[in-house]
Amino acid sequence: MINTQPERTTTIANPYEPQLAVIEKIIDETWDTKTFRAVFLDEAYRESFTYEPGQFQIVSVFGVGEATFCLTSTPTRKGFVEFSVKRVGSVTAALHEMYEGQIIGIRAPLGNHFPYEEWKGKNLLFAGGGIGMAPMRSLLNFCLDNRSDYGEITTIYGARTPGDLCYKYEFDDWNTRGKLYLTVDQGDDDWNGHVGHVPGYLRELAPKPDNTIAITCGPPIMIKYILPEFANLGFTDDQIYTTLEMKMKCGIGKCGRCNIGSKFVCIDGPVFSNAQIKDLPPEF
Amino acid sequence: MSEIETRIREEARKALESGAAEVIVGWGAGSVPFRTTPVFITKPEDVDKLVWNPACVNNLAVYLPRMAKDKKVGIVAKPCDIRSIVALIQENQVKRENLFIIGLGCGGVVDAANLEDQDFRLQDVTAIEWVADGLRVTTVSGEHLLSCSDCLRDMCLLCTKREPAIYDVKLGEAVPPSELRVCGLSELPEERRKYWSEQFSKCIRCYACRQVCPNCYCEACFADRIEPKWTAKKATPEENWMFHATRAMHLAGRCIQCGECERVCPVGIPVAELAREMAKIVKEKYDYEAGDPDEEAPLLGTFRESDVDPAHRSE
Amino acid sequence: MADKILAKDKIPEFLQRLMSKFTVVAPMERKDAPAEFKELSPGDKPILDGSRMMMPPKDYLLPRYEVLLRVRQTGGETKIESMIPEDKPRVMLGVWLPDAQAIQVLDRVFLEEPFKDPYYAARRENTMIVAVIPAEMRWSWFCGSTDDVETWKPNVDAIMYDLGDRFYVEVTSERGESIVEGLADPTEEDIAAKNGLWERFKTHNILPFADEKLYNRLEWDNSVWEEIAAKCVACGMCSYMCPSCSCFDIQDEVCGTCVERYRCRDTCQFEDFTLMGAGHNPRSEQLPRSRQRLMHKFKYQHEQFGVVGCTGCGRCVELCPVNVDIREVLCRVCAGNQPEPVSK
Ligand SMILES: Cc1cc2nc3c(=O)[nH]c(=O)nc-3n(C[C@H](O)[C@H](O)[C@H](O)COP(=O)(O)OP(=O)(O)OC[C@H]3O[C@@H](n4cnc5c(N)ncnc54)[C@H](O)[C@@H]3O)c2cc1C
Ligand code: SF4
Ligand code: SF4
Ligand code: SF4
Ligand code: SF4
Ligand code: FES
Repeated sequence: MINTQPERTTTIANPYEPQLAVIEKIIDETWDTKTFRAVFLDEAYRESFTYEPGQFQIVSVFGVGEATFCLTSTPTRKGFVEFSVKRVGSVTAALHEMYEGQIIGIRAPLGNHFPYEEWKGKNLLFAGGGIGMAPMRSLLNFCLDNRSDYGEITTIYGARTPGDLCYKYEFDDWNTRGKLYLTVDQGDDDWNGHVGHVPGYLRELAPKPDNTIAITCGPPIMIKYILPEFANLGFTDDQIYTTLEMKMKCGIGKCGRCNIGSKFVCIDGPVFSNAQIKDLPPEF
Repeated sequence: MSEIETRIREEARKALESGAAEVIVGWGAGSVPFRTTPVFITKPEDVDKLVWNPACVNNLAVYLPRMAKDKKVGIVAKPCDIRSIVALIQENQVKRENLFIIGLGCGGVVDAANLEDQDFRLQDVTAIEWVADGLRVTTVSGEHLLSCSDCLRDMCLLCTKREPAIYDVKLGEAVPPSELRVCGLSELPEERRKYWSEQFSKCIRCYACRQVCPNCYCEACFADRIEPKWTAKKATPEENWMFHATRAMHLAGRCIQCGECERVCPVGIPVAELAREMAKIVKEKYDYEAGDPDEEAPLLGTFRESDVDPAHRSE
Repeated sequence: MADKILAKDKIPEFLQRLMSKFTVVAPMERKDAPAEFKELSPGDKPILDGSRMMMPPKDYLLPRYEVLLRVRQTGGETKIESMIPEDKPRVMLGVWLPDAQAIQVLDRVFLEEPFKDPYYAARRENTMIVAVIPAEMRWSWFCGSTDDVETWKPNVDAIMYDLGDRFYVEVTSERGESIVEGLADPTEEDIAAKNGLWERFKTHNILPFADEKLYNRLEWDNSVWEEIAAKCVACGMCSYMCPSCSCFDIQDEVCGTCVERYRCRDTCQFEDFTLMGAGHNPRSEQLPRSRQRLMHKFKYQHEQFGVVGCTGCGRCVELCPVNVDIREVLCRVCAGNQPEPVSK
């Protein structure tokens, strides 16, 4: 069981060393969220770089630090990576101050991913709130780009106000190749869509659980209220998937802070089925 | 069991029964005979868990800011612990009316490491008690009498204030120090710098000194702040200087010299010596002593005409 | 593998010979402080007998402050330099056996695939560990209560038993042979003395939880967590000084024209360890933090790696300022929460 004399490795890639990338484009999504499109400087790396929907990256602003963001772009669209940043603390603030053409560092891809291979032939139901749409956008666009592999692709997306909705420029696509339902907690003069929280809207829409996988991401409070709604609709725990968030530093299972029991969100997650989550201690 | 111990338990029971305190913080038997551990007693029938012996080192005032916000707390306290309480009251961290203080006259407490230096095997020690002019250490091989200077903590050998300054009940008599140790730092700036550089270079930045300090109650310590970053978390000699110098300044006129910081430091940095120096300066320049109930306000919170400002003094 | 005898008056020559082949790392005395593992220079007199409290060997393998990257941004160019230390043959001497076993725990964390930690690997993979069993057991040790200590032997390269005027050197790995080259053979009497010392180590402080599979006994809801949390002042010493605790923080610092990305110790006992940017903290109270420390060492690490994260070195027992004695806590857990004195 115990390996006394570990094999010597001569060359080890340094998992702490980021790849340099240039910010190619910055999209103002909402008052506190921006989406960044970055392109790796090293051509060979850029060509060979690939990832899976649900994985994340750790972005460096040199001199400020690193922060974790999901890869919100889809691997079906190559040559760049995208991540959406909500401004909360030091690194996210520094990113918000940056402009196109500046250099950042990226460690990616990290973490597990959505088991989309197993979902072929099934209907997909996305239910997202706020910045929680970021990890789901990758999978959503991936599945839309592989449209024939899946049944119905339905998205319910909610935010506090219409101004808090991200990715508006993709709504048409999501509603053409799939079906999109939007909702806001509080409308404004221009808003003539649905008003209410995502869990409530889900209950109203009452999608059928048959042959369907539900993917839900959002603030903890939304997750708390949406899970019983899914259960009421007849979704079982292994039909529901989400991503978990814990504070991260290393992203590679070493620094010890993202554990929930003996699982580490950075290597065993961030994607978990509700069945897996029920096996974890209630500490997230 | 000492008579004082019995009386502490009686007073604790009375306080709990009368509602003078909802909980009593005191020392209980430790996992080994040369240690005690903080206990929180809420039921009168549990007061027998309280002990009083030379291993009662902890300054329990450290728990007050978080405990006595909204309830009545009883505390068993040595004179130095009481000075902490006075400082906490002056700094509005606790209210006097929320406290029930069982104050003890003190003869100094023991540093177990000193026993090891006296060639005791700690696993053999079964009891430590105060006796007429020193301490009695009982081991598996018999009883041994030790002088205070051989086993008391450094802080206790420097302590002259062995009577509780404020209290609701006072128990026990202060034992006057048999010999006072004086602190022996060099007066030469270069030598002092060298001394502290050596000491600080050992610091592992665990912040235990801060955590046990009753006066380090800030919710966000400067050392933890990332914006602005006053000092980097890395344990390099320079950053360690920054941490210790800043902490010393923050405690000037506030540290009451219980010596907890020094006791807990895993790498033997005489953190309290620094605080002692600050206290000396504060006394000389401002005639102020932290933890003195006759002072109505904290030094840094008041201005007196007579205050000197060292920064402007030379002009 | 042949065992040998190292007379204490032959230590200088022994060190000299070792230093001709290896970088030798051993505990060196410090002023008013526990000895610290350092790379020896000729003439150094390390403490090899383990008789005193020392800083854990992780301080050498996983320094408390380590620059990971140096980033230079000049003109339009950004250059990243990985500060991976030199990988050279090393021998660590004078490592308490429980500390040597704690290195096994660190190995699991840092060397296990898919992500090998190149910094730790560079210091560790080519390093032989020579453990020591001191003549006197410390009061705080409880090694035999955490594991079957016989299984620890093959994890080190040699063990030095302090027999007073000499060390009995038991070679426990093939590469360990190179350490004892040229030393004298043991007599029957030496072997008997060594066996006696081993027996004392093995049976020292066998506590009521020794035979328990603690990973099955530690429960999420247990009143003992609340009791520890009430006393604990979150000083973090129990993990900063623990030989197997390995948690760290990563921070950036601008140093003149370059940026240093360094790591430094951190611990689950601190509130900001898990405090997230937006203010959410899954372990916002001391209770879950106290529980995390015990559960991580005795349950989670066992689930993850099949090893127990505590080897009974007793540092936290000796150093905890409020006398949270991990042995007492474990006794309590196993005795269905009945208070049970440890050594009375
Ligand atoms: C798997 C995963 C995916 C995420 N995806 C996104 C995303 O797509 N968009 C987005 O806006 N945010 C996302 N987050 C949250 C984001 O990582 C934090 O908001 C961010 O790290 C805060 O950094 P800061 O420096 O601004 O905050 P500070 O409060 O200054 O934090 C300091 C450091 O602590 C760490 N940290 C603090 N909060 C978090 C946190 N919530 N999660 C992880 N590390 C943290 C980081 O290393 C950070 O640099 C994700 C988090 C995880 C774990
Ligand atoms: S307790 Fe000692 S090592 Fe820890 S931060 Fe304070 S001075 Fe440094
Ligand atoms: S006894 Fe304490 S310090 Fe030693 S290995 Fe166990 S937990 Fe760590
Ligand atoms: S006990 Fe805490 S600090 Fe130590 S390794 Fe486990 S999580 Fe990290
Ligand atoms: S050493 Fe004791 S007081 Fe400090 S964090 Fe550990 S348990 Fe808490
Ligand atoms: S982020 Fe470091 S262990 Fe998960």
